[in-house]
Amino acid sequence: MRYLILLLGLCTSVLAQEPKPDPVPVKPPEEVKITVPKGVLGEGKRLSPYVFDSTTKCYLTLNLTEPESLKTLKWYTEDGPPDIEPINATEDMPGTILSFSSGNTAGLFLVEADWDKGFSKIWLEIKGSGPSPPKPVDPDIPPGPVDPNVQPGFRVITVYESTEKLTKDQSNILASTRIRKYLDKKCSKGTEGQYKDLPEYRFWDKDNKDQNKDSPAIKKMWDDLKPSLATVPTPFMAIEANGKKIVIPLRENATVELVMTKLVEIGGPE
Amino acid sequence: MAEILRPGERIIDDNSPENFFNPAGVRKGFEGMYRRGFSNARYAALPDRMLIDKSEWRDRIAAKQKDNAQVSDLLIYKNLPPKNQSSSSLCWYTAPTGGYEAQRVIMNQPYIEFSNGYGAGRITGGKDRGGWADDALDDMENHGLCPTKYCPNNQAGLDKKYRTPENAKHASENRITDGWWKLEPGYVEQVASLLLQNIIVCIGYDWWRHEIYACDLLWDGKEFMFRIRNSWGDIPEFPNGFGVLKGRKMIPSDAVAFRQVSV
Repeated sequence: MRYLILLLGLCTSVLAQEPKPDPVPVKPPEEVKITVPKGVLGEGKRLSPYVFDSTTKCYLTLNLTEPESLKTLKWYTEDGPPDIEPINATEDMPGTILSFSSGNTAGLFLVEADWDKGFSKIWLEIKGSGPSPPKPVDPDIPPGPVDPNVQPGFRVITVYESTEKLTKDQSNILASTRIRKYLDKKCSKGTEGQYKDLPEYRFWDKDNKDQNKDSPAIKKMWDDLKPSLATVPTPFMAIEANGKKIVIPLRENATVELVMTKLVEIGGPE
Repeated sequence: MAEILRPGERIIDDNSPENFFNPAGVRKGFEGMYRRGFSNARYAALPDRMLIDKSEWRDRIAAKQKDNAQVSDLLIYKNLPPKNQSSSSLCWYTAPTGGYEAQRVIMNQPYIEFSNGYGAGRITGGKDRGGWADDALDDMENHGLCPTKYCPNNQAGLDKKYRTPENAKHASENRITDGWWKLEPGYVEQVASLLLQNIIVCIGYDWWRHEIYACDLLWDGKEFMFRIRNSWGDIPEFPNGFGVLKGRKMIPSDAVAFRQVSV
């Protein structure tokens, strides 16, 4: 009888216990490696390279976000496409996004990235284009990691070379009242002197040397931008927003509509 | 045509009566290229790479109008007032000064009104007389423009009492940078190419004895035209300073352009 009571008690206590939930699977940290845009075929290996042609967006991204590791990042592009270049490089960081053209000579290329805690290597193939290849689409340039050195607020400096002929669309972007109305609404305002309440966006020649007379925030942004002036083709729109630096290239296929779409993605609706 | 022009805007062409473009009481001052002697100004010729083929003009004009991306759209949006040379003969310095203020709008710098009298007075020795725009641009590059806060416009600004070391310093902070171009006389294609790339062109007309600046290229279905901004203030003949030149009246006798100014 006693054993029966004990057994009953045991069963009850077992039944009364709340079932333990299944352990939540811990998501393994994302592997840091060189990635390619969606739609690019291949595996990045020598026998199965990533394949780029005139229909694909031609850029590579390294998903490295740790600020200390970013400072140690080195790219090895000697065996890469001839015109490959970083598009979000800063003074402290060589950039995590590389852009190149599908108009390069067809061939097999190798790109490597090395940083303090790892490395990544990919093979890519550029297919030769036909007699009249369509122009490459400018890649969407995702914002880089949040940079504690980027000042708060929303600022834009559009840089161009005034002695180079502009295309129809480039000329319109630089003079568009729609873009300026948006920037007037969204950009931070200057706080001192003649710049007080002036929206902080500028349209400057890349050889501008007078920026020291502008507002402190614009001066700092231009100083931070200077290393890019030698590597990023003009015209382009440099943006500081939400603690990040973003570059919108204004190449041949950029239009007012495209620029507005990207500005709205970054800064919110018109 | 109605959709190309703004309310009140007039087209000046070979058929326009004299009072259309010379209303009573206005002064001018451009001395005409037929009277131009040797220029000491240092300038560059416009490189051919800046030229836009004429076959592209109409498409570009249409795109600018559709996108509200004409330079005049910007100047109106930012409420840049037209210059007013009043009863002075300083159109040759006033038009470039207006162009300088417009360039600052394009760059989104704060609005400052600059004196046409300060620099003109240095060139003319204080006299209220006519001149040429390349002398003005040369002066604006080497010495700069003085804000009207320190030196008034027109005849008052010609007085040598304003040419002080302090004002020289104020002016030196506001200069044309990166050089300027002197275009070839009569070369409409050069002017049109620059206007389509948002570069303002200061043009002198021998038939008018007057200097203005051009800001847009227009197409009326048959011919190209220049939209200009005059320096006679806001008057009925040139509402908000704007007007349109067409036919032989648009062909430049003299044209100069700058691209960048101090911030």
